[in-house]
Amino acid sequence: MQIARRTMLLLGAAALAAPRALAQPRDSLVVGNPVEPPHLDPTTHVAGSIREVVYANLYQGLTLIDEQGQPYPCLAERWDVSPDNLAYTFHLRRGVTFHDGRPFTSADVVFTLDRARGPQSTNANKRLFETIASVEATGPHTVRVTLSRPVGSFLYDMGSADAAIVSEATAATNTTNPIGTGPFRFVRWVRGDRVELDRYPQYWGEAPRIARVTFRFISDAQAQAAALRSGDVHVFPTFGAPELFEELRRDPNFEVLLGLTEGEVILAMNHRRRPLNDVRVRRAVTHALDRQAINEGAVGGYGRLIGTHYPPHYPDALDLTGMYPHDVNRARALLREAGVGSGFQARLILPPFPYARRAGEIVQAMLAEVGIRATIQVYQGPQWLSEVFRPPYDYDFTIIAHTEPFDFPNYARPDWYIGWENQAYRDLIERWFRAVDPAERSALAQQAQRMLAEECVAGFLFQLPKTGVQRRGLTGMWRNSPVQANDVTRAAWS
Amino acid sequence: MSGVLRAARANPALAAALLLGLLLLAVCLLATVWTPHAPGRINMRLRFAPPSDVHWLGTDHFGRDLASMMMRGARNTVAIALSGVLAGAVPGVAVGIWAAARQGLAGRAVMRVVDFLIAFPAVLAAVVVAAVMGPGLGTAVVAIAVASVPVFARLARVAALEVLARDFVAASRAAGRGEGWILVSHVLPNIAGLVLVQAASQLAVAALIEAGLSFLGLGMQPPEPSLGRMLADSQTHLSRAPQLALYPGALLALIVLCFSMLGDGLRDALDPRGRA
Repeated sequence: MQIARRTMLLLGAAALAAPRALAQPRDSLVVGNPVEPPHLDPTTHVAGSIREVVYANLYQGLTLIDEQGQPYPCLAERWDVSPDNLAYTFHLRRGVTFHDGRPFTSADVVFTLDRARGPQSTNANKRLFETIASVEATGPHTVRVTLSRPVGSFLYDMGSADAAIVSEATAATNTTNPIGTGPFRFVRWVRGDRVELDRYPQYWGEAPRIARVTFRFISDAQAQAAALRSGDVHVFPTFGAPELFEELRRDPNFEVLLGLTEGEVILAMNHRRRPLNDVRVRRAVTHALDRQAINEGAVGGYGRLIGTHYPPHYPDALDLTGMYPHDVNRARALLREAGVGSGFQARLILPPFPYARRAGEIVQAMLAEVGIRATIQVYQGPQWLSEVFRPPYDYDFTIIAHTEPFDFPNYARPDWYIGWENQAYRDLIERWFRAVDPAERSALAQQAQRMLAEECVAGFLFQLPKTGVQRRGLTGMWRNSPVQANDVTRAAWS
Repeated sequence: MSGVLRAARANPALAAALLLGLLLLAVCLLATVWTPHAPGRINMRLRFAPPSDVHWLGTDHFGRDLASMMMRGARNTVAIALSGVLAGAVPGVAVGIWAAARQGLAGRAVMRVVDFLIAFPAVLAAVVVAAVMGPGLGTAVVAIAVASVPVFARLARVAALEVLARDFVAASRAAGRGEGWILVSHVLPNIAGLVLVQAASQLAVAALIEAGLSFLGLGMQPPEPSLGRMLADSQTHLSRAPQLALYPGALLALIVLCFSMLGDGLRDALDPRGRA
């Protein structure tokens, strides 16, 4: 009878705790993110979870990217570009201070860019800074950046989180005590639970309407739904349970924001391992995948199917989903041809994001149809990064959204976790980097899209939708996600 | 065995528990070799299908056959509960008897540790084990075993102390029998009934722990079905398909109820004092 008593107690406790007053303090905001960041310095780490907290809120760049994906002046008030497109003179905003009170000057820009492009750099996107030939302070509030060749996307690149301006005095400690120039300053980080930011009183620009923003980390889709309903979290910019959208849309307490992201969700295959280094096996895997079914099961069908690594809403995107369609018999034949007709064992490592875990379960079943016996393991964010994304690259399959804009050149990197060895693609990407003419860039990008699809470099699944859910009355949150960020600087309660 | 049958006739609750237990066991054994459909098979075109003669209870959010998943899930829950309790009972009883035979400092120290463990909530202990070992089948078994060891150790010690104080033990000692022989030949058979009763009740706790771990994603991993994970997955579909939570939940309750009744019934049947 002991059990029954215990159960009754639990039920009783749950009943008492359930209906909580849904008081909403009008100047505080709780944002729910799926994954806790490994640390809080976006200039030394690739994790999108860092950007989802600090971008535009805490750190700022010379430029920043707006909701439409366009760069706008931020710490650089304006700039002059030389006629040969090689020299940029940035005129910095005056009266800007870091959160520790230090004034922001040209020395900080020089330090930030030199650090990012230097030999000791641990920047996750070093390629953004590779073309910088020199950075010099021509005055306390002017900086001249000289490029070795014209870069069409330079002002955009300077708006990425990788190029956030940091002070030399705090660069080493920004991972745990981030100091930026943004409208919010760091208050505390309760590990495993939340990061709190407060309005910075000495902010140079328009003060945000929200006085305190708390980022809470909840990866489980069910727990996200519960946190939203209980009022513990006001907004999930990417909500993990799309099957609840219809219900939430009818609920007068909530608002659903569907939009686009730059995230291509792929079934990554480890090219450093047999038999996935064989293009026939990778084609078999692609034939085994029913993309529409995965899209429905993982994100409720709100994603857009992709056949290569390129956002389908870009004007020069090619629809290559029909190149290797769902065809179980063809997949089996290709496996036989590759000498693995009886299938093989593999490990499917999943990050904790709801879309990845759901897609993983479906992909596992689809692979089993053609004889590939995959065992699923779910890793926490840091473990996924340290074992799958970085050496020792210990995985066969994994599912992840690559959320950076224009990230298809990554497949050319020999040190990337995919491990694809293809000189023709590397040459192609090199030409794309150097190209300035928009038409030429588009043509090269289309060539790259085709090459990635033909070689089945990964299983290209769907474009991650932006699936935001928020309490009604909240305004100013982004509907689309052109960069991985939760810019709350314009958020307000109406 | 005949004693149990006789008791069952006298105790309708035990009879019902035995009958239910046999039925569940039959379903579990059947699920090992046959289910109406492959239990992990996903068919997105058949999501949320209503019950039919093809899918007796309908399908879930991935188009999997609900009846097949429940059969296999129940099999997994029962198998894990049985293995876990067995793996906990053997060392638990051994420690208990050993501590009873050794009244010195060592015995007392071991029992203090056991007391400490028993004060630790079973599900929490299981979550700690799962955190260390990572999710999976082995974790669930070990977690249940770890939660069960102190329960059996305490029971075995108290019961063994009682047996050790009896006259026939003293007689054996006088006859020059060694401590080990006494523990195996006198103590063990005399406490076996109690251990069995405890094991049946512990199975109910174990089934709940297994479901709890699976619910949290720490137990059985996909594609192998588990009742706990079915419950977890069904949460966001409650308004559209409440049966996804209702059926596995009811089956789990039935399993727990069956073990619990079995424990109560066996206690009544085997305890000579209870019979009076």
